[in-house]
Amino acid sequence: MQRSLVYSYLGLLALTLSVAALASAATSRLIVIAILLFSLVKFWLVAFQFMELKKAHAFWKVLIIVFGVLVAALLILFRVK
Amino acid sequence: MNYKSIFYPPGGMLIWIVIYLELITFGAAMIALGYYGMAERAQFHSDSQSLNKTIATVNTVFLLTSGYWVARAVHFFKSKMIEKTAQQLLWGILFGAGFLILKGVEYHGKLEAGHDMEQSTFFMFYWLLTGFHWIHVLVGVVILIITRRSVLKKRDKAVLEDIEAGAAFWHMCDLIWLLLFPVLYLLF
Repeated sequence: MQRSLVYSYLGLLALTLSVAALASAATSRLIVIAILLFSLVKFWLVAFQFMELKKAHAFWKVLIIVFGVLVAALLILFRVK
Repeated sequence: MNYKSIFYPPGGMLIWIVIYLELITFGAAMIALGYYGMAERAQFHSDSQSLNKTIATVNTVFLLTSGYWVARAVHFFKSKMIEKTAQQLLWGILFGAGFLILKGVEYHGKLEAGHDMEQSTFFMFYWLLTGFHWIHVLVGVVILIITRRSVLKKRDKAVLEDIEAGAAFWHMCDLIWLLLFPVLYLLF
């Protein structure tokens, strides 16, 4: 239990620092997409590990995955267009 | 607790309905921000550049660290380790308060520089999105304080679902910020 929380937390910190480092680089389309994808992974890590959605019924899991994909896809679409 | 039932996600169905409604509301506003950003790209870029990315990154770390302590608190409560639960919740509260204070410092800087809500479309979104999120974090901290008091008072008679629901609300603040942070500070 505790170990998976620690790994998730360390993963979240690593992704946060990666996103910040990517943002300070040149803002190409690819970097914008990478920033959003990294943020989406962080979003799901918190939902599944910290909120324990991994133990919940598939309905709740699918809902959070669909929400994340939808928001990220639309933002990428608007940003790279 | 049978979490595998569709009616009993961790924290109970009611809090998850609230969470999804909040996510949909903030998500729609972020999509609107992206849409307007497409039309006013240069303005959004210059406005976004005036935001302090370092403060935002530190605030992200504060919220994630707070969420980590709160997740640990729930696990300790399940093991009936009351003192440990209260201790973890206290760390969660302190890091949450750190977020609120640091955000206050950022707001002060923005107002001093004249970046108010009427300055541009970007700053209208900035103040509305981060302002509503700040209020959610404030409510979350109050919920964590009440939860901690309840745990210390009722000991192992405290209801697990209430503690999980309080924690879920707190993590929701994390979820919203994890999307707000790149959208406002890094995307444009």
